[in-house]
Amino acid sequence: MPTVRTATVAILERRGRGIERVETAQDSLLMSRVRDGDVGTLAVLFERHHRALFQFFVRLTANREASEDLVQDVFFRILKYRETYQPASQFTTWMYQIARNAHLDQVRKRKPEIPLPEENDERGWELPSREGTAEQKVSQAEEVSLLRRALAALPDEKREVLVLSRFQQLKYEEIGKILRCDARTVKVRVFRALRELSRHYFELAGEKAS
Amino acid sequence: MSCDTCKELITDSLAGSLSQSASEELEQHLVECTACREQADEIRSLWQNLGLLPVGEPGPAARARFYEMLEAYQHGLAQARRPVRDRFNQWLSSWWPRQPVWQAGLAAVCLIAGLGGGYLIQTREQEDPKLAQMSEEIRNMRQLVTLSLLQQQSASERLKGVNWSYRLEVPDNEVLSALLHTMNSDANVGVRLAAVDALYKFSDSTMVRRALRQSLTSQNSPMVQIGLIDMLANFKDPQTTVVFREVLKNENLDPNVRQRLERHVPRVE
Repeated sequence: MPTVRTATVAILERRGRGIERVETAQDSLLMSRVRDGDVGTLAVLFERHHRALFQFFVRLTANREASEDLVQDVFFRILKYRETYQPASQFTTWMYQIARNAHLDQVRKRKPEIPLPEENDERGWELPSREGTAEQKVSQAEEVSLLRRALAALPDEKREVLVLSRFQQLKYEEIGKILRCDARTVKVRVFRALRELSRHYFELAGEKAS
Repeated sequence: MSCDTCKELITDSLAGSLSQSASEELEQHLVECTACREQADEIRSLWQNLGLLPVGEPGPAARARFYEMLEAYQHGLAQARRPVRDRFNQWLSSWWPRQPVWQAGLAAVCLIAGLGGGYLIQTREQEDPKLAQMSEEIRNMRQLVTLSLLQQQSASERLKGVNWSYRLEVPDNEVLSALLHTMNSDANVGVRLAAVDALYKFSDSTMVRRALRQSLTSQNSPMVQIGLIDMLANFKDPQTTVVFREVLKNENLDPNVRQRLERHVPRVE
């Protein structure tokens, strides 16, 4: 009897209908409560943000396990440093700053080998469905593979700014606050990151063709 | 427009944050400048294709891990605060009056203050939609945690899920069904027993009582049966006696269960 699973889905759907876009003011309010001692309220922030945070880390590191660890690490640090939260600043800005630090610490701890993208680990990953012939589907898979490798070939800071702008639904101004620079600098970095991504992509595509 | 400005506008256009007039200016420049046109095409196509990259989902253990961490942290905090609480208790007891008459008076005042405060908070919740929305979200979150834990592989996780249900004032039908399902079909006897206890809180509902009676006839663990019998006996309704008699007819009944049943069923003369 699949009652429990379908019930969970039902509650998630209701939440989706009722509370679509995260109210940034509410996040700030919730985190203020955590800061003031109502530590249990962190659970609400977890439910809202842990998925996006996980996806951010996976796109940065291409490593599921490390990403799961990083998410836990981030929420632990949020608890530990809760008294340093400034309600005037947006919660997500603060959260991503902590996320970046956690990631940097992890990179420093590990040996300096770059993990290859997990090409064969499709566990739980869904490809956005596209209609198409078999050839189109094969070429889409090749495209994805090339893109992934090109992304992995970027230096960390360029990949990071690209992931923040393309996937995390953050405006350039907010990214600027996270990276502690102005919005204009962010745009320049994004542009340069895309140019370099393009270069890697065509190099890899060329290798494939030869 | 300079090519540098053009690059900035292209980046703005990716985010969809370009005004109508700026957008027109940009397209005008791109018509005239082939270098920028080529760059724009390349960048826009790449931006688009990045959307093809598959989306990962966090594993099922992620939630459980977080809630365990949170609980441990809260426990740690409580332990750390204890000395202060002990001191506070001492201070408080110095205020408690000796004479019973004054004790009663103080208690009455506290009761009124508590009721008044609760009423105020409730009306505030009704007036402030944001607060109400947040409370709703916290309620939903607790339901979600309960359900999520109830479907974990490990019995101790499922036990946690049953315990979480105590935090729900008014559970969803889904949570109730999940608890009933756990009571009837969980592989672990301890978890089933815990579910029986948890359901006591919601046993005002006729649906729950009916399910409890039904569970008695289908359980195979004597311990859980005894737990059910004790609970059902509290209700003192006639349908319970009927079910008890039915169960007694089973010749293969565990002797302990039989004994417990006979205690509650008046002997037929």
